[in-house]
Amino acid sequence: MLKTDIAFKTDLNKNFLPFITAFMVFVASITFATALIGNNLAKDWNNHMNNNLTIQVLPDMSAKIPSQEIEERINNITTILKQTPGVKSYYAMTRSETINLLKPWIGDKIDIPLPRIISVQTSNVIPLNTKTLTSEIKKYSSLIKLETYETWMYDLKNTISAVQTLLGMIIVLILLTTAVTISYATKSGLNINKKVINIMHMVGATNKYISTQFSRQMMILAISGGSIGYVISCIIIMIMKTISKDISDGIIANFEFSSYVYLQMLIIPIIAGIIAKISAMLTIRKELNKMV
Amino acid sequence: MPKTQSDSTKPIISLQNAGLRYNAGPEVLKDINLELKPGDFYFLTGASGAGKTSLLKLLHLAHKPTRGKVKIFGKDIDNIKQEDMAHIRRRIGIVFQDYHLLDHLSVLDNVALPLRIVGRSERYIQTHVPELIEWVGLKNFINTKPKLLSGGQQQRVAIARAVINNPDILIADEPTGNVDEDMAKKLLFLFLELNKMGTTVIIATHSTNLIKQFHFPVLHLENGNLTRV
Repeated sequence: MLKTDIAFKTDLNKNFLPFITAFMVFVASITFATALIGNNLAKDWNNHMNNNLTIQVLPDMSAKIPSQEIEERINNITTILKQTPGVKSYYAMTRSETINLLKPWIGDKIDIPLPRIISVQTSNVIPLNTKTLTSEIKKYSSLIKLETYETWMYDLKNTISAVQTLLGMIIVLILLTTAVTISYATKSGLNINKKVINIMHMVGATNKYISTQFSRQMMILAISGGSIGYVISCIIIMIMKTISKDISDGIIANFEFSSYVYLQMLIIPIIAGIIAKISAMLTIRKELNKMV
Repeated sequence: MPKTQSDSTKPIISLQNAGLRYNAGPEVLKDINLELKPGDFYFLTGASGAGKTSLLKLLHLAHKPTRGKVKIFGKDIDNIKQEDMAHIRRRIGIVFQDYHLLDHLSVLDNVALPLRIVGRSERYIQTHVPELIEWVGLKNFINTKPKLLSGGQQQRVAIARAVINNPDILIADEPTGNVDEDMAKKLLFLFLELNKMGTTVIIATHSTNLIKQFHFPVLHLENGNLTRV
């Protein structure tokens, strides 16, 4: 039950507490959302990268006709790929596609041998042994590079993990600051309500009763402020999402996430409310024991 | 609320050689010996500054004596825990000289305060509280804040709050000081009714008219000394 039986005077806290909680929840929600979205992006990239590998076939300049030789090697490699368990599909880029890809930098009148790329999509079900695949392919030529993105992903994961830990610490710090602020607001609230509390004691209220009523009221104020902070942070994130949609092809185009993030963010105002209640309750009990 | 049956011969409040001083000031109450039994009705008189309010504060546990003993419902107040203190206070109705109403609450909420504290249902409150408010003549002010009421009206709110829980002890400090004679009589009859049901009543008053009309024993305080008149 959120309703208080007895309202306390809230002249000071009525405005201050919701404002400060709104601000804290806003900052914490944005931080939390950043961590969540970062996590989602990392997962997306991970899934995407984990299912892909690239084989780079370099031209053999010592061959009589390098362009013919490279085609032969590509044929051999694709034959191996066909027989390798864990390979779902593959695609070998043609020479003209490679030229198209390089056109912006070196133009389209190219008569030199070019490296070629074979894009391989791996199976989600059957694991691919990249070491065996590499050694099989290298039987035909050493001028082949197999790129699995493992090292790159490892570094990315570490970076994301470090950033998330930092964001987590920021959230904890914000919530701790909220708790301390609420504790001070509660103390000032108790001073304002000293006469009220004295009268309540005189008519038989226990400390538990007073602290429950008071902390409930603080929780209501914190939740109302927290809700405002939550709504503002959701609006900001929605705006960012809309802006990011206009930017195509860049990494920010991946700023796509499900609406579930907004639901997950709801945890922040709820935690703020619980912190307000506990923090207020502990402060009140301590102060009331001094009063009696 | 039905009152618990208590042995009428045993005092519910007893003071033995109780003395009280505020900080390092002079002793305002000296060697008070007093026993109040269930169903007793006393007037408490004395000049201003004689110690009436201080004695009442000892009786409703707002202060502990600086010397001597105070027992209430058989318990020594020196050994009462805070939680027990609250439960004892629920059995005492108090009318403060300066009313001690909560300014931000309506008349109804002020009177309902002791009931809410003991966990009475809203249904019970909405049935019983308006009835009592009507009885003390404040029907039209039920949702009014105390600051908008006159002194006499505030006093009646304070009285209604003190009696709403049907207390074992009713302590009133000048409860009729700000009301006209007819209302004073009416309020005294309310106290009488409670007293008939077993409530011990002690009223501090300056009104000789009331004392003459109601013929109850009088305790008199002079320079901190208590005598029976």
